[in-house]
Amino acid sequence: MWRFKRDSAQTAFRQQAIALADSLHSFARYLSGADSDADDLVQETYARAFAATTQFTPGSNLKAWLYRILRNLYIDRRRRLNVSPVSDLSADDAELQPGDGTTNFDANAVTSADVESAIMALPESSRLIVLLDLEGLSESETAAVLDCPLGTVKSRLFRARSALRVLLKDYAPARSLHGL
Amino acid sequence: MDCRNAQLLFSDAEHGRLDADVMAERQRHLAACTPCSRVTERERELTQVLDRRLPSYPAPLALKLQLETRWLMASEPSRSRPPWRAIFGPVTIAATLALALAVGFRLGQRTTRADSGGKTSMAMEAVNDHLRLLDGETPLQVLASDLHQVKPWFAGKLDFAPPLSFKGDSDYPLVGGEVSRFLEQRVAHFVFARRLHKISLFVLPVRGGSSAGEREPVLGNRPALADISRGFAVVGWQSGEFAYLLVSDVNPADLLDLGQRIQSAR
Repeated sequence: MWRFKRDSAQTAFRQQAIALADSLHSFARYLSGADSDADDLVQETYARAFAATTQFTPGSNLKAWLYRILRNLYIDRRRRLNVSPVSDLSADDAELQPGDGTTNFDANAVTSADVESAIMALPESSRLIVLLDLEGLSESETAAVLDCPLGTVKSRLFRARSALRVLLKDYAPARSLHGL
Repeated sequence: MDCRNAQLLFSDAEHGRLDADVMAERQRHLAACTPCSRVTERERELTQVLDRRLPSYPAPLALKLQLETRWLMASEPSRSRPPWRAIFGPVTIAATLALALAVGFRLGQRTTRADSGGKTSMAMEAVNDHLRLLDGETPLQVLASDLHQVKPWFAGKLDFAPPLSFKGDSDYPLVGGEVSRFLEQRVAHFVFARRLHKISLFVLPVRGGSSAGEREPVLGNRPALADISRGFAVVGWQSGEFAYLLVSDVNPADLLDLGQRIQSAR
C-alpha cells in the first residue's frame, strides 16, 4: 500500500512536470537559440529533475524549479563546450541600451519576427528576465532561476523592457524604409 | 511613492503581487503624475505585443511522446496493475493518438485478409513474428553487422530485392537478417539492436491493383507509430512499392527515430 502511494505520488509529480514541457521547450529555445539544443536541454532537465525530486519544495513553483535546472544545465553545457560564459546581470549593464524612458514604438507596425529579433538581441540574462516576467514568475523566483540577487531583478527588468522598446522602434521604421 | 518606485512596481502591479495598500498608493501616484501614467500605458502596450506576437516554441510531439513513455510508463507500478494499464496510460494514449493524427498513419485502419477471417491484425502479425525472433529457438539465418553481407544473402530467397540503405550505426547496429513469413508471403526481416533490445524490420512489397489491394498495408509515407500491443510498439511507413514495419519493446520514440534514419538513408 505504501509503495502504491509512493508510486502514485511520483507519477502525479512527473505528470505535472511533463505538462510543462511546452513552456520549458520555449524557454530553452530562447536560451539556446536552436531547436535541437532545446530538445536536448528539455530531456536533460527532466532526467535531472526526476533524479532529484526530493529537492523540490512542495508548494513552491514547479515551473521555476525546472527553469532553474534547465538554465544550470545550459551553463554546464557552455562550459563543457568551452564557449563564452553565460552573461550575468552586471555584464548586461554594459550592453543594455535602455533609452531615456520615453522611447516608444508603433505596436501595429511590429511583426512577430521583429519581436523575436528584439528579444534575441537583448543580453542573455536580460532576455530571460523579460521572458520569466511574462511567464508570471515572481521577483524571488526569477532571482532563483538566474541565481542573482533578489534586489536587482526589478530594476533590471525595467531596463530590459526599456531596451526592448528601443529595439522595436528601430525595427519597424527600418522595414518600412525598405518597402516591406 | 516616487516616480521611480511607481514605475519599478509595474510588473508586480500587473500580476497582482502588490499588497492592497501599496497598490492603492501607486494608483494615487499614477492619477497625479502624468509621466508615470504614460509610462504605465507604454508598459502595458509592450506586454500586449509580447503576449500576442512573441513566437512560442512548444515541445515537438515526438519529444513529448518520448518524455511520457520514458518517465510516465516507467514510473507505473508494474506488478500491482495489469500490464495494459502501464502501457496505455491516459497521457500516453493521448500522445499516441495525437502523434498518429499528426503524421496520418493508416496502418490498422484497414484489415488484412486474416482479419476478415479471423482476428489477427497486421500489427499483431508483426509483433508475433518479432516474438518468434525473441524466442531464440532458431538463430538468425544470417548473423552479420555489415549490410553488404546481409542484403546479398537474401538473393534467391525472395522474389524481390529489399531496398534498404541504412547500414546501422552506433545507436542502432545491424545484427543480421532472415526470411520470415508475413501475411502469407516471404518478406525480408532485418534485425537491429538498441542497447540490449532487438528491433525487427520487416520489408515487404506492396503490390498495387485491386486484386491484391485488399491484403496490402495502407501506410503513410513517413514513419509513424501504428500500434502498441503487448508492450511492443509498431512503426510503419510505405516508400514506393515497399512497406516497412519496425517492431520492438524499445521506447516508441526510439523506434520512430530509427524509422526516420532508415527512410532518410534511402
